[in-house]
Amino acid sequence: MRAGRSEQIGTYVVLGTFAIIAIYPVLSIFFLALHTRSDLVTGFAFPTHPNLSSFKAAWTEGRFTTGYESSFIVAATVTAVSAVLSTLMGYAFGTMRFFGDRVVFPIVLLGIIFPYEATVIPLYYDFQNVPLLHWNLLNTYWALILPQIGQSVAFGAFWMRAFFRSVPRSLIEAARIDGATSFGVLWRVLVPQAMPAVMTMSVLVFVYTWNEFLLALVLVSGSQSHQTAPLGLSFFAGAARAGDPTKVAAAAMLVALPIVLVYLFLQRHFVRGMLGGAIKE
Amino acid sequence: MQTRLAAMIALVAVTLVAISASASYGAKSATTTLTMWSYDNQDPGLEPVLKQLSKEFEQSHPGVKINLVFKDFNSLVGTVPRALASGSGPDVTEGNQGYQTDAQLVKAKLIIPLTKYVKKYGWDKLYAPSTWGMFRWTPDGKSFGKGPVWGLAQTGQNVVVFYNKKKLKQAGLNPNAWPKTYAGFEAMLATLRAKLPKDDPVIMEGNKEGYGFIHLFGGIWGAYEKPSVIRNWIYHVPGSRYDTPGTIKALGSLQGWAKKGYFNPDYNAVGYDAAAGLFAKGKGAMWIGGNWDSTIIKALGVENLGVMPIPPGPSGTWAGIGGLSGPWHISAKTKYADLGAEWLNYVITSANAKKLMFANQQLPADRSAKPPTNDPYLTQVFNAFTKVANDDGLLLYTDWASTSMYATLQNQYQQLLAGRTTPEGMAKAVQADWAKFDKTLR
Amino acid sequence: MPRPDKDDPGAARQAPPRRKHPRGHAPGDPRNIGWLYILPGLLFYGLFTLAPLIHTVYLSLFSWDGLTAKTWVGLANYGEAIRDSVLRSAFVHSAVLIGFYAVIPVMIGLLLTAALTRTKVRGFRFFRTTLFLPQLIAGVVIAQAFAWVYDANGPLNRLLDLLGLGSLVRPWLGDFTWALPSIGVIGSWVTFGLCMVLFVAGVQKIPLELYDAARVDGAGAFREFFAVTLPGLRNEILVAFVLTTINALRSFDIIYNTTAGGPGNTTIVPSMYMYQNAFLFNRVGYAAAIATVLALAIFILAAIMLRIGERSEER
Repeated sequence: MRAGRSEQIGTYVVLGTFAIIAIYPVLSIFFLALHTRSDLVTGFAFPTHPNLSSFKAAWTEGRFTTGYESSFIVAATVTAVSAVLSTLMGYAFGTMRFFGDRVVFPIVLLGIIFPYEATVIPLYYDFQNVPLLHWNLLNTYWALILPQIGQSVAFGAFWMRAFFRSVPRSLIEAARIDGATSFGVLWRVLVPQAMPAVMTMSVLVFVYTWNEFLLALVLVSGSQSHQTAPLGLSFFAGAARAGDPTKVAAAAMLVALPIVLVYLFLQRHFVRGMLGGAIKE
Repeated sequence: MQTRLAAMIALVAVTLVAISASASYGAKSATTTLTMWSYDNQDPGLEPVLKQLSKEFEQSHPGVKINLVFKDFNSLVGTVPRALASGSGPDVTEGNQGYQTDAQLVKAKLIIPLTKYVKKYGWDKLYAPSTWGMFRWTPDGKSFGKGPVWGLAQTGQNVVVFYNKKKLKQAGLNPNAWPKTYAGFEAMLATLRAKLPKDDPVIMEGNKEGYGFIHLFGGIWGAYEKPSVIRNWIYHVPGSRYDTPGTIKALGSLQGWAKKGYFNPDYNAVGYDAAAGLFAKGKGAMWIGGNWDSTIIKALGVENLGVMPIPPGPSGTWAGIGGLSGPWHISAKTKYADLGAEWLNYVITSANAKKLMFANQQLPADRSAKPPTNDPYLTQVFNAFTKVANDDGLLLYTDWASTSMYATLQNQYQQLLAGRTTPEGMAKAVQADWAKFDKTLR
Repeated sequence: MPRPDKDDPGAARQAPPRRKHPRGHAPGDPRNIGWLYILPGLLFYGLFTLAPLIHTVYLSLFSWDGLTAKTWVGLANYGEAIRDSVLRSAFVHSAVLIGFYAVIPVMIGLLLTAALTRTKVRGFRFFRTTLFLPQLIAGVVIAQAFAWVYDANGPLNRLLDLLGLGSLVRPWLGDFTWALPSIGVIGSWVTFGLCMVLFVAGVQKIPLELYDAARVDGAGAFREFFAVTLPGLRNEILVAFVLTTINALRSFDIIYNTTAGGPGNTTIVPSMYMYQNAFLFNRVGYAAAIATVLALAIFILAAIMLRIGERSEER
């Protein structure tokens, strides 16, 4: 595919421009975070004397030890559990035919376009006073973990089903003929092949769960000890932005950084997963 | 491949177990921890005062830890009812007088009446009898101003004008001759607008959170309408109205200020405290806001600062938004009510507390407190409060008047100032909100 | 929804003897063991996603402050919702946001895809990684970032000043007219990367022969794009539209953390209004009605879009 010179230049201009647009907003608060309170910050705010004091202040005052801990516990649990459940569901939907599967799968698909905001109200009251058990699960990790597993398996099942459907039938048939049970086939033959797809899905679920805000705002804002990082940032920004925007900018970086790093490191798996035929429909 | 997967899962599982185990282990320690929520997050201001007092309390009460949590007003008020209901929320928290917050807390039995503590600590001497009204609710949360006392306030608050003497001088005005009437004040504003550079606002305003103009308007309101009429309307005395001729004229006056360009154009994007900070750095000729920000303002330099309420209208009554600070409540679900009450007693009535508050230009609500004589700036702030309080001109806070009044006012003020509604239109909308809510009380 | 053999490569890759059940159960396995596999996931999904939605609809039939007892009011909340001008504004704003969250990013996504895939681009990985980044940033963080960018003293206004467009300087997020478009731009920023990734993956599936054929016919870049790429990406474009439109209707995080619906009610959206009613005004029943209406809107919109997609397929 040979393209003219001008076309090549045009291509890079377009790509470069949007790349800058994509990075700039986050970069700008990174710059902001490198200043201190006393700097009167305006405009492009390029840090001539980078200073990490805002990060330190943000970490302690924004209670990020708790924030990171909570966010990690919730995100890791949700990711691990939904990875397992999604794989199981995807396997079934993708390789088996069973009674009602044509009805159930679309219902599961609904979960991808689901308006989760519409469920926070009953989730709040049902966690405050769990029906039949009369537990109070507000301000606990369970309040965040359980609904988000429910939210993630819909996308996860779709994703893994697409993968399993792309596996050659012959592979499965061969294993079955050798006497393996359906689970045996899954565990020994298919899961190793599924790792890229599972990895990509897991990264997406982890990111999405880490970033979740409304659920945290409604279900765990009562107790600081279970605040997630994004929730902590929201409260911190509300309370501190007036006095010290650099501190808030630092706090924002602290929330975004783990995800960006995870993404950059696992980027390769990402690519493989995205292109490995996982997107079919 | 599957061993890696298994190993990953095992690692995650072990980590989770370890973390949850350590978390619950920590809770079994010997100290008693009380959690307090507050929106007095001005620093400098009340925040360091509360932190210092809590530290002193911990020293005199070994084994007790005070966990202070500061949130901004909107976030706290928005999350505190559910936090209290959850059972794992704060032990002691600020609320907000009025129907949106306190009435809900009382109705849902989330806070306890303070009657026995008032008796124990002699708190009834703290405020004038009529002032106690703002903490009283009948247990059904319907009648404001009657019934037992549910909250206690730490400081006396009112909205006053902080002005930059140098800029007044530059405009040819005498900074030590504050106008005696509201008409004189408006004339002063006009002079300032004419003489100041175009990009310097006359009034530095921060309305981002939505309560900036609710506060500012009080001084204008008081020049046109009787304080008792306003307070009765907030207390839902049957038949009260917001859309009185006086109020409508006052709203027109406020809209005029916007039209004449007295405010900074980005007032909806600047926070309340942020605006105070900008004024302290030299922007604008005046900042009209709460005296709880007086420590922030102090950075401008006390020789250059003046503090006065907006002068009275024809009635001669000094009036403006104000009352006492946010009420402290004790959660109905706390195990440490007595300890919480003792902390309240310390931060509100102790000699140390009063000293610290004055040192930070905050006015103790305790009416027996007299400011030290060696701080002229503090004396100005104090006088600005007592002038209005003594004239019985404290107009309380308008958002107290219904569960949705805060949102209605935010909306209406923004539209009024942008010229998108008329004073009559705003008055009608506000009264409609009041009336809709009023029906539910009868 | 299930489409014939085209996307079942397993079927294409082998020449199986015709079976009675082409995707049936293997010898030895009971047919319905599939249920065992989907049950755990279904349990979570049903309990924490589907059931609460039904519960929301139930709550919408009451008047409730969330703290004391409920009162049955039937469809009264919906009656109020229809007459509520704020709710109407909220949906109008959502419609505007759809333009920013869906239409613009799809176009940008197509543009970027064309740029990335026409020729061998150096730094392909770098560009794709970078352009997808906005999707991974938490809404709260995005809010802080753009609150700064749009700040009266922030980079945008500074840039306008430098370009000699000082007259355009304004408090973007505090301006009655510009707050909503400003939020819209944030939305475009967030979703264009998603569209691009979807389209780039989709382009990989377009058979090279089609491009060669177009080239032979003498088609230039533009013709190639409209004749081959665009039709080939039909599915992906549909998926992109569905996902981004839903995104637009659901937007909460960014609005809550920037304008909270203001100034006035110029940036109020249904999810924000629902939150205010449920947790600030203590009108849980009414909030549930708003939530139900929102859910319905989303489902109906998605159904319409998928229908249109299928309809154009059949052509």
